[in-house]
Amino acid sequence: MMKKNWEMPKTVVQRFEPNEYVAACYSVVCNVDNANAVEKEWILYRPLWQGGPISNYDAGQTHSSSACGAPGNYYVIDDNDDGKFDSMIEISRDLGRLNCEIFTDASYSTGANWGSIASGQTIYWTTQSGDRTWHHQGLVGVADSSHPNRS
Amino acid sequence: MEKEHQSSDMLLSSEVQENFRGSGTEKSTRRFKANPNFLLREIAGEAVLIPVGEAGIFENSVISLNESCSFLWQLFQTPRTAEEAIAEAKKEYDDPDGVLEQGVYQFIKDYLQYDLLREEKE
Repeated sequence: MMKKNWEMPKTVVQRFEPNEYVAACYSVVCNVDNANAVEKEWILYRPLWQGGPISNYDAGQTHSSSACGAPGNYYVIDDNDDGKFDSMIEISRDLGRLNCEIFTDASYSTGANWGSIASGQTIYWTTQSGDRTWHHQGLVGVADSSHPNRS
Repeated sequence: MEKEHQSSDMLLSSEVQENFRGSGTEKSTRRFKANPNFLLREIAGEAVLIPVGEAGIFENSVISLNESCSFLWQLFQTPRTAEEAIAEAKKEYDDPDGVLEQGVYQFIKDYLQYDLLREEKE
């Protein structure tokens, strides 16, 4: 049998960042009618020389059923596989990955803990891109069990 | 992040060889064995070590081995001295450049350093 030629031993170590554990699967969609109603009442105080106060809605922060109101737009993340939410992100077609910040109610003044929410609950969250903020709300439902790792 | 550790272009110092060979003509009786917390698997045609227990500094890492590393890893599944490993490697490989011994010693040195290889206690 012909011998192979010896080559010097070479070991390559590639380090990687582990992905977030995404296991708990819930469906979260924005109730766009309610969310748009909030934006219409959410006043941005601009100086008069910039046109004066304007609603967040008129400034362009709107909600639509084809974006944040579409199923599958949100990913719920359970970092440590304990069955509780740790965070949520929106994958926006136009804006990319947006982190969600959760609040206790529609005043969006008091931060809440992701771990305290459960299926069947209405939650309130915001997303931000630059100096723009969207105020979302929606019901948490259990998603199709055949659709793991994505909500 | 990628960290590459390459033995091939390192010149083996006489001191490294002394560590494994013993002084003069004396044969070293030090025996080495592959760390059982790592398993060799072929993934997409590439030999890689998969941590199955305590991965230490190799947590969240993929350790790829070239052909000769893979061969030596399999040899050291049973405890062997450096000389025994060299003898086995010479059966399997031609060594036109005369670097086989150097490569085996360097492999042992490096793998001991990173706890991929362990010295068997008498």
